[in-house]
Amino acid sequence: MSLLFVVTSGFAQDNSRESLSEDEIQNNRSKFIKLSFGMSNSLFRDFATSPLFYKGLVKNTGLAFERSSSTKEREFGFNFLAGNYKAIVSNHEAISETKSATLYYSKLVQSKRLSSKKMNFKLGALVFATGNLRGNHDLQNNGRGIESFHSLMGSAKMSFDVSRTELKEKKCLFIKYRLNPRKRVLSFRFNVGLINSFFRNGYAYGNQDGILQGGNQLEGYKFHLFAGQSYSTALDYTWYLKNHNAYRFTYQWNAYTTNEEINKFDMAHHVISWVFLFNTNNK
Amino acid sequence: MKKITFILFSVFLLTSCEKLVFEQDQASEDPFVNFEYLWHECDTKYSFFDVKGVNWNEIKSEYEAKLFDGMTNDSLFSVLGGMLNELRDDHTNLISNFNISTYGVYKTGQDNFDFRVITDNYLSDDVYYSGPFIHDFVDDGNVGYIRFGAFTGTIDANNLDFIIDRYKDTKGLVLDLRENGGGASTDVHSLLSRFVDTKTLLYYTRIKNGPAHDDFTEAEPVYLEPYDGIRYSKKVVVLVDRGTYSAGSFTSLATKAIPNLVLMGDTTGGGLGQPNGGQLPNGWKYRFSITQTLSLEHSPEFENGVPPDIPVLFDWSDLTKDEILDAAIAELQ
Repeated sequence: MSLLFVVTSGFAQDNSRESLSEDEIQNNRSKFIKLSFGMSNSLFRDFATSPLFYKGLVKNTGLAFERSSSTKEREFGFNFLAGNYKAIVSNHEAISETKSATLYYSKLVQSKRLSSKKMNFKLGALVFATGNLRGNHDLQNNGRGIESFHSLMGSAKMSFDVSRTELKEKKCLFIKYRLNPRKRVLSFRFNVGLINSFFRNGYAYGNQDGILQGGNQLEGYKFHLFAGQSYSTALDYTWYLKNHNAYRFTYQWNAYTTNEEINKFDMAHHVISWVFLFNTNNK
Repeated sequence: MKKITFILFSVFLLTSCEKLVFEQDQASEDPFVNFEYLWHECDTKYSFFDVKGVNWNEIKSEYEAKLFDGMTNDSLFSVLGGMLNELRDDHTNLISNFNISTYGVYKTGQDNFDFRVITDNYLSDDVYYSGPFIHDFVDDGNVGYIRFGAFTGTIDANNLDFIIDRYKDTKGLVLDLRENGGGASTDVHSLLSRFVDTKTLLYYTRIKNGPAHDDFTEAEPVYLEPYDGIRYSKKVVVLVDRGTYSAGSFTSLATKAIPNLVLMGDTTGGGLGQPNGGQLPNGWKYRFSITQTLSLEHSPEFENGVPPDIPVLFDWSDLTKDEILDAAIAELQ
C-alpha cells in the first residue's frame, strides 16, 4: 500500500527560534481559536444495507483550539459535516441524509533529529471519535444508520517556512502593486490509525423495537476493539497577519473502514476549508 | 517554493485516495451479479425458510437457469421477483422504479369482505369516523361495530376514549380487521391495551443473528400493559380473513392470549416477521422478513396464518348479509 510517508529532506523551514531556550519557546507559543468553513466531497458505503457508494458534496464546519510553537503543537477541536449523499445506478437514485460529528485531540512534538533549518518535522499522536447519523427512506426499516468510529493515530507533520521576507514590487498589465513581507507556512500532515475501534449495528442490522413496543433502540449493536483501519492527511497553507491572526486554506482527506467480513462500513471525506485563526495571546 | 509545492502535492495525491483502502465499487447491472447478491442476502438473513418449507438452494437452481446476458431489466425483474415470491411472504418485495413484486397472500383464500354490504345492511346513515376507526351501533344498539381498515399509526387516546365510552353499555364489540394489511406496529398495543386489565404476555419475538437458517437470538417476551384509563372488559369478536396481514396478524395472534377476545372468520395472511430493507448492485431495492414471532407455546407456525377460533366464510350468493358479521353478533348474545 503506497500510503507511506515520504520525508522530503532538503526543503526546509528557517527556524529562527532555535536560539531560544525551550521555556522561552513555550512562553512565546501562539494560541488560536480556529473557525473553519468548507465543503467536503464525501462518500460512504454500508454493506449491511447496500453494495453501493453513496456520494455527496456536504457542508463542513469546525471549531478548534490550537497552541503551537516550533517545538510543540496541541489542538483540540470539533468538526461537523452534514448533507445529502446519493447512490445513482442507471436511473435509480437513493438519498441518505447524513450528519457526521467528530471530536479530536492531537499533540505533536518536534523531532530535532529529523528537522532542519528549513523544515520543521513533528511527530505525535491524534485521537478522534466520529459519529454518524444517517436516514434513508428507500431502505425502509433499515433506513436509520448509526455508527461511531474511534482511533488513536500516529501522526507526522512537516512544515516549511515559505515566508516572503522582502518587499516585492510587481506589475499586472498596467497595474503596479506591492507585496509586503509576510509570514507563510506550508505544511503536510499524515496520520495512520494504530488502535481503531467502532460501534455498529448487529448482524441483521434492524431491531425488534417495533414489535417489543419500546425495546432497546440499539439492540444488537456491538463495540469492536482493535478493528478497522483509519488514515488521514492534511495539506495546509497558512499566512499570518500583522496582528498575529491568520488565514489558512486546507485540504484534508480522511478515510476509515470497519473492515468487517460482513456488514463492512467505509467512509471517506475530501474536505476543502477556509480557516480563520484568531490569535488569543498576541504572540 | 515551486519544488516544495510539487513534491508536497504529489505526496498528498498518493496518500489521499480511498481506492487504496476500500474495496472496488460494486455497482453493476449484470443480471448474474444481482441475482447472486439477492439470493445470498436472503439466504443469510431471511427468517422463515424452515417455517415455510422452502428449499432455497433448489429455488436458486431453478431461477438462475432463467438468466442470460443482455436480458432486459423487465425480464430480470420477473426472475428476481419470481424468486422472492417463492417465499410466499408479502413482507418480501423487490422494488424498482418501474415495478414492485408482491406475492399476494390474500389470494390464497376466498374473498370474505365487502364493506358496501355492511354499510347498506347494518350501519345507519349516522356512522362515526374517529381517527382511523369507522363505527356505529348494530343489532338494535346491542352491539358496537368498529371497522379498522389499516394500522395507520394515527390512533390516539381521544379516538379510543370516545369509542369505548360510546359502546360501554353494549353486550359486546365487533372489531373488523378483515382486509387490514397492517402498518404501524405501535397501533397494536394502543388498541389492545383497552381490552386487558392486567399486564399480559402476548407472544415472543426473535431476530436473525447469523447466516444459518436457524440462527436466531433468544426469544424475547412481548408484554401488553393495560391502558391507564377507560377500558372495555366485555367480549370482543375480532373479524379476520386472508387479507389481514402484518400488524393485523400480530393483533390476531395476541387475541389468543386475551380471554375476552374471540377470533372469527378466515385464517389471516401471516406477516409475523418484521421486514428489513436493502439495495442491489443495480440500485433496485428489496425487503424481506428478518424476525420471527412465536406463539405462547414458542411456535413460529402462525407465520402461515393465525387461524380463527370460529371459522366462518362469506357467502357471495347473498349480498344482503354478511355471514361473518352475523355470526359475530350471534356470538355476543
